Amino acid sequence: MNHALRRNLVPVMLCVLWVALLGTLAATHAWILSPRTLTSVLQFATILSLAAMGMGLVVIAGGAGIDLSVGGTISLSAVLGMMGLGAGLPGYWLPMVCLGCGVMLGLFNGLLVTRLGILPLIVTLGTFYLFSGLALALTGGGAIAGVPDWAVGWGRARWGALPMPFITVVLPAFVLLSGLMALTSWGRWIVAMGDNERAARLAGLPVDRVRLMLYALSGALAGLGGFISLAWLGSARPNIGVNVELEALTAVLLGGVAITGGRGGLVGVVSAALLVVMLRTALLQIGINTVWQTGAIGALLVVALLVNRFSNSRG
Amino acid sequence: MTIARLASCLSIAALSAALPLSVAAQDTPSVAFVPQLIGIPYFNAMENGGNAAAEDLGMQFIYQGPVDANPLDQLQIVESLISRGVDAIAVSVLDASAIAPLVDSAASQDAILFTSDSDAADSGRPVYVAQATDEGLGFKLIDELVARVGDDATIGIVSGEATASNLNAWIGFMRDRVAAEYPGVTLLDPEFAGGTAERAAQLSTDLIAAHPDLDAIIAVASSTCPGVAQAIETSGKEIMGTGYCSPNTARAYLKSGAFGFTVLWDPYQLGYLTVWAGKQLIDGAGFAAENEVPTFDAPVTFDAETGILLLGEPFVFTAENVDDFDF
Repeated sequence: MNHALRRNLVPVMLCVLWVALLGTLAATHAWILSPRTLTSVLQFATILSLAAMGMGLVVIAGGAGIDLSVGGTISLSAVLGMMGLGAGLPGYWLPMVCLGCGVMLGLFNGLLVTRLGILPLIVTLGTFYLFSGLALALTGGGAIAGVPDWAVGWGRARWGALPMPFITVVLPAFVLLSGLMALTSWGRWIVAMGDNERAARLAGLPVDRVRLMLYALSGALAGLGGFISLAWLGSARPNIGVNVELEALTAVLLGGVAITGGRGGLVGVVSAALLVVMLRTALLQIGINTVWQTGAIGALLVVALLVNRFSNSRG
Repeated sequence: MTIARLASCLSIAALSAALPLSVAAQDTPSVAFVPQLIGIPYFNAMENGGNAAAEDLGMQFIYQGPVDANPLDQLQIVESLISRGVDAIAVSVLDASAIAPLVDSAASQDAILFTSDSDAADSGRPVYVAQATDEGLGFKLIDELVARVGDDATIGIVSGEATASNLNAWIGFMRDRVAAEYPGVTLLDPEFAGGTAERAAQLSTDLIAAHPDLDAIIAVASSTCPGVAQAIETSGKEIMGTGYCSPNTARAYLKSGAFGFTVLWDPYQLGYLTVWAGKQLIDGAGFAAENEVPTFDAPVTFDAETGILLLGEPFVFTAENVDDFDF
């Protein structure tokens, strides 16, 4: 097997899975491939894609990087955003408040990881419970209604079959971050420190600063996700981020990012996030029991890891 | 490449295995019910009732729900059912605000969205199939409990999801009843256990330790009943457990004495009534103030103002009568 193919085995697998999924649906359930399904898939993939991009960059940067707190960050920033409005902030501040909360929560993770040198898995597991618990405690478990009409109008609007939040947030974020990865020295630093942190430090790269920024970025994307949840559902719900961290991690690994860092890209991550949601939507519309859907996504992840392992081995 | 090929084969195999399950038949009218989560006896009983009604009324019944009580997953399931062209969809709402975006979506596909078991009152749904009024359930449980443990009791509450609107409504009415009728009773703030029995056991154990004078614990969600009972049994204290627990869940605890009684309704009948209501909506027949439903002993009341179709009075299960029921 030639080297290029082996190195790109996971993206190849992803393409094959997409073709297989769409091909099978076209052959057997063509009615599922409708604009309606496209809308639904993009809508349910919006928050997941944002969280997965942040998680992806944190993982690529290595150092056992992972951000399990994204779900909690989404919930807490949505709740804090609405509480800000309740405290008298004007409505147009809402996106900024959510984004700002996300950045602060992400920085908190980043500081614990870079300054105190605690393992990211442990830090973000702790802050996952902290953030989600705080969101529940602040609301007493109930939803906070009263999202401004302009936000709800935007959150539920569509351009053709494409949901507005996807076009106006996910796409620009994707283009921006892909550009960052491909064109700037930051992008090369991120990959370099993930590939060999010691070498990166010796070469004088600002490893800790980059890592801190990436956790803040992951928080910022989760904060945007929180705002989108407000605009889409019309209320702040303290458990809106439940399970997002695990689904995002699934998308990251399925998208070809090496869990040890240094390899992978955002194209794979976003396309894997869409694949997971598409698969689930298709299985739902065909009418397969939800228990099997969870299993199907788990099986997909195991296969991805096997392929990943296979493509990792050199020689 | 072999692994990639294997993966594609697997996914094709998985999808084609699903072919016979496809719901494309548009001849018989179809009603779907989306529970809060699948795989628990309560919703299984509703599924059975729905199947029986579908057979009696000549309908197609679809039962599909999330594997854990996650509002977004439930939303996605409802969305998919609308896309599949199901005629009427009943939802046991996990979070009232999440259903709002779906009402327009359903109307645009000529589907009727209504609620059953747990409501979203402001969503514009045409009918809510209610198991009992929230007030009736909250009051009944407090009345029965105070009659057994006395009107100076300290009572703890263990609930399920903190966002479940039905559970929160019952707790609200318990508080109202205590405030209005039993000033001597201390009702502690509810603890939320999510959907798992282990968490409920841990919370109950902590409650018992933190309040030495605790007289009773109420398990508000059916999923918390075993955990509460287990904590009471292992504490060895004179504490009465109760809650909204199905007979099968509570049978052992009722007989061991850990639970004094439980309050509930028959979810089998609720599932039956849900499918019947779906048929009425599809036929455009509407509801009268009192409705004769096949296999039901008493007529079912409908309140046109609130849009509530009411199953009937809540029922008290005790060690004596629990063997007469199986759900």
